[in-house]
Amino acid sequence: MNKFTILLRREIWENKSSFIYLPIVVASLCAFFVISGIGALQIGGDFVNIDADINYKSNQITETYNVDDTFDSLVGRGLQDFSRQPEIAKRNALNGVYLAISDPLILTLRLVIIFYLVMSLYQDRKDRSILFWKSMPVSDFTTVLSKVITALIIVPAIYLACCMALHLVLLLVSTLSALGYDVPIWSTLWAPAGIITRWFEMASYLLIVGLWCLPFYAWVLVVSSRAKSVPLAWIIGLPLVLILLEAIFGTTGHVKDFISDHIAPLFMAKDLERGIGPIFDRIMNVELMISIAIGFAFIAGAVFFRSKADEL
Amino acid sequence: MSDVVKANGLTKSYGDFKALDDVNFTIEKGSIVGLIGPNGAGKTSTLKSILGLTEFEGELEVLGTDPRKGRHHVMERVCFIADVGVLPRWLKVSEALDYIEGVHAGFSREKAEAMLAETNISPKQRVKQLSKGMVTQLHLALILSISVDLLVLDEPTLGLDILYRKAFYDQLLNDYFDHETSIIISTHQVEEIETLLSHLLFIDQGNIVLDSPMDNLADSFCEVIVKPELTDKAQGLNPIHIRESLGQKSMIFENVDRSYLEPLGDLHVPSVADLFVAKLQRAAR
Repeated sequence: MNKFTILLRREIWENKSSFIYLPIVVASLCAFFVISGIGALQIGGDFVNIDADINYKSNQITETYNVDDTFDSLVGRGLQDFSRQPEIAKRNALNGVYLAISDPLILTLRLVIIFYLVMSLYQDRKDRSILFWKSMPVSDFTTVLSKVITALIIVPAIYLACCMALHLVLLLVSTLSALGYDVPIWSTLWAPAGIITRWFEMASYLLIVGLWCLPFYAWVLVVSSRAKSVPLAWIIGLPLVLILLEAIFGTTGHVKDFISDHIAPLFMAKDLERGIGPIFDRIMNVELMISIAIGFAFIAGAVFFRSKADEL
Repeated sequence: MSDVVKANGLTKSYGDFKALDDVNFTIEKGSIVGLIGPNGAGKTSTLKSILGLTEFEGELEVLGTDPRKGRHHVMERVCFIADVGVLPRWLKVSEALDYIEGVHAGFSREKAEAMLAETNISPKQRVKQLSKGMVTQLHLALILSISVDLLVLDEPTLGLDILYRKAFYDQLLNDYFDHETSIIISTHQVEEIETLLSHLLFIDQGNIVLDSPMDNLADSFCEVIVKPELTDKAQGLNPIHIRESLGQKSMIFENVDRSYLEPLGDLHVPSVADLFVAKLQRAAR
């Protein structure tokens, strides 16, 4: 086990900038925009007069304000109105906010994982360092497995930690800025945000989508372990050719559906908006098992090519 | 069991081309073997077969097991340096130490750190910040700190300047060699390792053309600087190699009794480099 831990650490060392620094930078930028946005309201709100009709809409309730007031007091009124909303409405609204703020991180995560897998069994053949790695008593299976676990668990866990930090910042900043107004903090901002539940949801979402897309991840690994040059061209090219062949000669769309079904979810973090339940329902079934099985078949292929691999 | 490597009918084909053609040899425990041959002779194929890095036909035993059973099993008792500059450029020196300590039971971190302390390499540096010579020092320090039964060096000093090459072999002999571990070195630069070797294997076009302990060379081979008037007589004894320099002819004889040769001129043991040229020209004929 200790041996496997060091293999995982090796992956982090090699990819420190995209695994560690990049999510911290993205999370910091998100936090900066939140803080500066709310800060600007706090500082400037008193001096801005608003004279307008504002439609305030949340779920089923629509209210129209006739405003002739400072922006600051408007925010206060908005908050008070929000605190009187039904529980479900508050939850939905905050759900959207907390998810939206994680979106840039999740999207970055997906791109980082794909890029990482593309290079993971290719780069060391290109720079010949494969000869060093192969001089160590680590089996090709263990090597490939360490890349899979890194992509499925380690990197998502790091990005999730950044999401959690970002959520805490949002919670803290929104709490601090609401202190000046007469609203019950717990029932308005804390309870409906339900961040602990949210974290569990995100964690299982990341894991399940990872498993669901395992055929794609593992296909990338196969190409990475085999391609002599431009792995990205193979990764995109071969599935495209398959889809084209199917379109020309086939009568069904199974290939196309399978391929798009197992790639698209990577870029649809919005799925989470309805909670984790529907996602479970959608993919926790035989299809997920088939996906995992196909993933393992590709992983076996990657191990096979890795065992034959030499410097390029 | 004193044989570290035993090859019997080792053959490696790429399509019709035979990189190794029915090769037989054994490597004894504690020996330092020079595997010497021109480019494309089959050196790398031989080494890769021993290391379990490639498929082959025939029989091959490395430390009593078939390397085809798995490279990672071989690597528990065998280590290799493929050539310089294969350490990943992003790797930090301290990370390299952590990594090998984590995956290799035979690694002594203290030993590696002690060796590195004598160089200008600091643990915080990355491989890409080191000069080519320093990368070799690092690689050697890492590998020499692993206790294994067989060390394989494939062109370990290629592209290094003479100072580093010399230091490399000095370190290999002084810090490492203990008559327990066996070493196989393949190289072009025969002259530099001549004094180091205990056994010679010449390979050409997939065949072993010479397999001899260094100590036996003097028994089998003799170089004569032939007196000009005796050239014809010397030719009659079938020299395997004739070289002309500064108006003098020097000839190398194989398995010719010294009593025949002594009257012809000065006798001495040919250098490995001259022997190499002699044997390979003969093989090419």
